[in-house]
Amino acid sequence: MKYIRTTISILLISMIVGFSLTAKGQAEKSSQSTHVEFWHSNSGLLGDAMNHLVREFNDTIGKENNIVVEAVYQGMAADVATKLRASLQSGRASTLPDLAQLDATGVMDVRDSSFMVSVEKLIDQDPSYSLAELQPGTVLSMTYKGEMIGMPFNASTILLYYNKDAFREAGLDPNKPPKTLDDLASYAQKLVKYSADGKKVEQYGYMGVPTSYELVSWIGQQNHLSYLTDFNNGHDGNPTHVLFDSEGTLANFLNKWRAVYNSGGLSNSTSDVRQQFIVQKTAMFSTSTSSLSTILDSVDGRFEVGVGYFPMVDEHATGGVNIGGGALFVFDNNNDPGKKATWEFLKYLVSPEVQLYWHQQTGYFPVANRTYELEEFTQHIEKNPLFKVAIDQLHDSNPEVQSVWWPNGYQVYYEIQNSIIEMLEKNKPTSEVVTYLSETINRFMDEYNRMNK
Amino acid sequence: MRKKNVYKTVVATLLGLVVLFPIYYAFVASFFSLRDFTSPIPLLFPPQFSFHNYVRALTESLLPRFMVNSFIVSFFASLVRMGVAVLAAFSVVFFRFRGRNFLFFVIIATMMLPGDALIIENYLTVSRMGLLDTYAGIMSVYLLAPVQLFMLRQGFKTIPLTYREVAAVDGCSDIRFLWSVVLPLSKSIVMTLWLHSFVTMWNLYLWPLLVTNKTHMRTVQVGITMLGYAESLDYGPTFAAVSLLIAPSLLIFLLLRKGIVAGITKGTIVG
Repeated sequence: MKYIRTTISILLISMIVGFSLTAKGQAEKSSQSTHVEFWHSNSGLLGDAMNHLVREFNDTIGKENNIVVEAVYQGMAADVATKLRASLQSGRASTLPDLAQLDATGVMDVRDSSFMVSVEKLIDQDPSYSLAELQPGTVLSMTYKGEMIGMPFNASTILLYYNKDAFREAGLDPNKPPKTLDDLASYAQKLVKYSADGKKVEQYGYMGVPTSYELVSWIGQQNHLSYLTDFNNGHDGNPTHVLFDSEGTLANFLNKWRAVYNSGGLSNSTSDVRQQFIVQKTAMFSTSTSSLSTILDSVDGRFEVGVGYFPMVDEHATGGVNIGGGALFVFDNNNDPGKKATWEFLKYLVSPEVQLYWHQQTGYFPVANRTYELEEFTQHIEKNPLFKVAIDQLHDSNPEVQSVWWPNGYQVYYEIQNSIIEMLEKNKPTSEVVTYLSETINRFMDEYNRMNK
Repeated sequence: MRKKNVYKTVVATLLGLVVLFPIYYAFVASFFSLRDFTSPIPLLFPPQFSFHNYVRALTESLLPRFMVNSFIVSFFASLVRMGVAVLAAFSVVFFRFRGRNFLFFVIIATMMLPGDALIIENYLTVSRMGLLDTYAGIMSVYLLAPVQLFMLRQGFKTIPLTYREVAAVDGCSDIRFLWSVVLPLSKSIVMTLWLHSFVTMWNLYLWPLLVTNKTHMRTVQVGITMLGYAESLDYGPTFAAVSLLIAPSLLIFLLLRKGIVAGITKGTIVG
């Protein structure tokens, strides 16, 4: 009996501790100033930079206007989306944050929600700010049905990374990265290195398997401007079917890609490609511009890193690359009426100086036009010429080449990868892959549209 | 006979190494510098010992606080879980009442419901109860474990019913019988299940992330993801944190090892 009494009392104590902690949490909120709750997914280096910005805001603009921003790390981008989905479905505004950072997949969960407050509406209410202060590509990247719903923040594009030393060794000009997929095939063939017995590949020319991320650019570049789906890649409404089958854009890309594979220099590896590049198992690969600093740090001078424009699908292609990354979304949670305090914080985050700091710390490119005119920025670019390539590529691209907003984003990503691997390794005809992918993705969109009627 | 033993030892050692290697590597990697992680030939031993990563893991996040949170949640949740399961299993095995089997199977049937499908509904319930950001909120949905009820029922069933009759004749109450006869006889199952639930609770990620918003209420698994980021190749602090986090589970396992091994040899299988 004695044990039971002890157990029960321990339980009661733990409950009391639990409740007293809630009480404390609620007490914190009831002060004079407006609290802005901000859910983000920045950890590590990015988390430090984010926390620094929030602290600086609270100590300056926040102090003057009685605003306190509370940054809450909510796990990876996908976790933030899961948590938001739960809050949105509960229909209880009080569980929502004022501001949340989401990636392209998360956009699908919030863009039609009545709780979401369009950022363009907030901009319209403030005469001191206008959409024209933002990079046009980033504005379009977050535009849904003609309205910019989220504030572009951690924006990036895809970039080609290559090993200049390996280029020299293969007799290639280290300052001339491949321009098209045809170039990529011939470069890869020259760069591939075999072991002494000729059985094992010691260094591939290029490594990686295309996903929806690469396809947006490689399909978008064709016929002046193409989209993967109707409704301009889902930016004008919920997409209903893919266009890449009837327009022949996917088949054109797949044939070019097959030629790269047939050169013998392509590895279909999907994991740790960045590491493979750093340890010189591949001479080229592509990833986000935001990886540049980390890659330079990790290579640590063991070889000379070069970056180039992401290769074009063919010599007729125009338009360049799309803008990916994430954006900040505002929610109506019965806190901060009119979202005035939240808007102050947003305006601070996209101010030219803050964008410069964010760019230097993380590698995401500045979304504010005026950042590019800052003297400090010019100096920074001169000191880091590789960053200049990334930014030139962005400015040479057509802002209308846009990311795709479709349902089951993660699933589609892997479906594309797996189909391409299968096509190359089992030598399947291109048409079969096009049919399979169109049917699969059309089915996903169909199911989504039926469920969300 | 002896030859057979040698084979057994060799196979057991090899299998043991397979299980141990990731733990060993996590520990070794906690001493790596950024450059060591990208060495062309993978390193199996750190070139130099520096506690730099441990310092970073402990200072760059609130790791000590997260460990306390996780410990409180895991310890108490597994205790309550055990209490509920023991009492439920006891009544199912030793009491006769109408609908006993039906009730038991209804509880067991909930095992068929995947946790992921319930997560949003559970979140709504917990948030309506005002339990967001509390230990009780994190623990709440894990307080009943049908698997444990099932395992305990199977264990209790091996105890002859005549024991209870004899005890009753001597004037022993049900609770006393549970404490002095049933539990001591089922010590190994109870300990194994308790350890299993401790480790499960300790390793939770998504649920604690959902029901907490304040940094100081986070648990370790959430805390660990704060140390790295998708683009980063500097895994040092993460591995240092992993090495620290595995310690409590390992310690409890070592303390309860004898009982667990006895349980396994008796044929208990933990699901």
